[in-house]
Amino acid sequence: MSSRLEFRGLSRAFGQAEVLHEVSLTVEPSRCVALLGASGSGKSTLLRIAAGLDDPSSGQVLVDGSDLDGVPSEERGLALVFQKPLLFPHLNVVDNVAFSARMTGQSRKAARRHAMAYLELVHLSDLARRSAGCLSGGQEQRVALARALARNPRILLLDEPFSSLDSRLRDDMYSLVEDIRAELAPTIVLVTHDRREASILADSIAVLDEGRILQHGPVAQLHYQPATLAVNRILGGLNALSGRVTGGIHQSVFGRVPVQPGMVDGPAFLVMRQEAIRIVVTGEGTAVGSVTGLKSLGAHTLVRTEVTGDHGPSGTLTIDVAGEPDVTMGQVVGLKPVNDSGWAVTR
Amino acid sequence: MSRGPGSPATTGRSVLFALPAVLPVLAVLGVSLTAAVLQSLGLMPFIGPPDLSFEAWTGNTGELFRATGLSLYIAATATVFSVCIGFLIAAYVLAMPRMGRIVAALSAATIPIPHVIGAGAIGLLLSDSGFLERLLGMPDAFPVLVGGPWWIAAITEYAWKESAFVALVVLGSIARSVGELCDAAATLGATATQRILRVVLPLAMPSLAVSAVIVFVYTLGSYEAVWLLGPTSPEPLPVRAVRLFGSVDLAARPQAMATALVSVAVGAAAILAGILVLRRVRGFR
Repeated sequence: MSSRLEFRGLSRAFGQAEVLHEVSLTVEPSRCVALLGASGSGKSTLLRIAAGLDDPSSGQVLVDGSDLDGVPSEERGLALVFQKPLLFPHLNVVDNVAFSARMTGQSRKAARRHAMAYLELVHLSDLARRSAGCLSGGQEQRVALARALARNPRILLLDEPFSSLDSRLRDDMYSLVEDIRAELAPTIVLVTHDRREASILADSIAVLDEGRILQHGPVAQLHYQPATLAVNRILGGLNALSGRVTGGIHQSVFGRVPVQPGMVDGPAFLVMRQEAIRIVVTGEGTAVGSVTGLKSLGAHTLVRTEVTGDHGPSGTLTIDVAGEPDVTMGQVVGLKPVNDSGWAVTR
Repeated sequence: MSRGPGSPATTGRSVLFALPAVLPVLAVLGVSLTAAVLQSLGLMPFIGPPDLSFEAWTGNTGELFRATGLSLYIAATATVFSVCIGFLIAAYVLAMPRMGRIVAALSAATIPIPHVIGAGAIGLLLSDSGFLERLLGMPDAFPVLVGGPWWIAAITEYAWKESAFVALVVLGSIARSVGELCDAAATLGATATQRILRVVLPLAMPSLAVSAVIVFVYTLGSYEAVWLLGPTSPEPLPVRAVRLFGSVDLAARPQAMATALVSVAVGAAAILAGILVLRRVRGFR
């Protein structure tokens, strides 16, 4: 069932507006890649082109090395789960899931038998005879997922399928996708604007911004070693301090912090995730900051500090603290990188 | 006291709001049907005292049955053609967005043309000395389409006008949702033909059923096209009713009313059957 999907130099323009620009991306068999980007970044267009629902202006879509140019959607062997479940309202649940088998000419009985296996996979076999219009939002998306899987696709494309569900239902769907990956090992391309969803479900994340892939890499790499300030921002990083790298050391108001090897000397931004900074006793950290804001995220709190120092202009650093921090507004605290090192980018 | 949807207060208010629209319809229908029944039974004669008689109903039953059968044939055939062609037009408009826009505009432009104008145009096109016969240059072999035994010209006129109506009703009811559902079907392996037959057609069924009932009832009771384009005999119900109603023989009035009432009864039966079918179609959803 698993195949290799490759986008090679793919561009798509609508009139003068270029939605995708020279996008190249490879998804290895049985891997799950998340396309992460804001609305309008071109990620859904990329999936529609892969599914054969839209044509690229230039570039290729290859599956196992074969160019899909000119291959109609129904012959591509790819299944797409849309943001809306798009269940056929004139069919009941089992007949929705049996739809692809019926299209291949299977009898109604055989197609339904085939469909039941996938309904069991998504734990909805009890609702097989129910009308498609009588399901909850979560149930509808499960049926849509089962319907796509029942096609036995070479590649499963997910276009923000869980975005309309509440957080609890989403967590259920994440577990379901994990079960499906464990059982069927499909190649998955997931489009999402939710970095948490991308981090939970995907093996790697490709960050798409204004039609360009800014970075593609493992989840942790994108969070802690972003290629640009834009990637850091899209992945939820709140800190970027301007300064200068000299001999592998970044100097800024945050102090002298060792950065990655190979960094060329010159102006650079230190990107430190809010989770990678600790609040310590004044004097023990690399910098000193004054608390200017406290924002509760429930189990976590974001502590905003104004940092001043000898090595650069003042800046703002935000620290993610588990629970309720033992600090007050205006208090001066010490700040220190968790790993005693940081990551620098030039743009 | 409950004030939610379906509560007595809400229902009562809904009925009150509907009354201004419903009352005139009920009054006109009630008065005209009552008068027609009374006239057909001789209880409301044009001249002379009322005299109960079933002569209008039983006097010439053969002709009445023939007229009914002919009207059913014309209405049913025109409806089948209208629904099939209308659905194909709708499917084309949905499948071909650019060319479809032109077809949709042409369909929309067809609807306001009065049937009597349409019938005249079809007559000029299909008659045995008409445009088509001259174009094809086959004066002897040209079939009798106008005034012929199969009422082809009249049915063609109805099918042309009403298929445009059917197409617009279908497009209005499914155009919003069908594109995405067809995309989903394509990614599930459905070919273009399968998408039309397995997705578009089932989704269009309720609107097709509604428009089929409307077209059937309209063509059953419509007068101009069958009068202009059909043979003089046999007569469909509306032509017979109008001829008898306008006859110099005032004794023919009851027969005219009986003919009109048969037309109303067949139309009502078609509406009831349509409602039953529609309920069943919606039950699938």
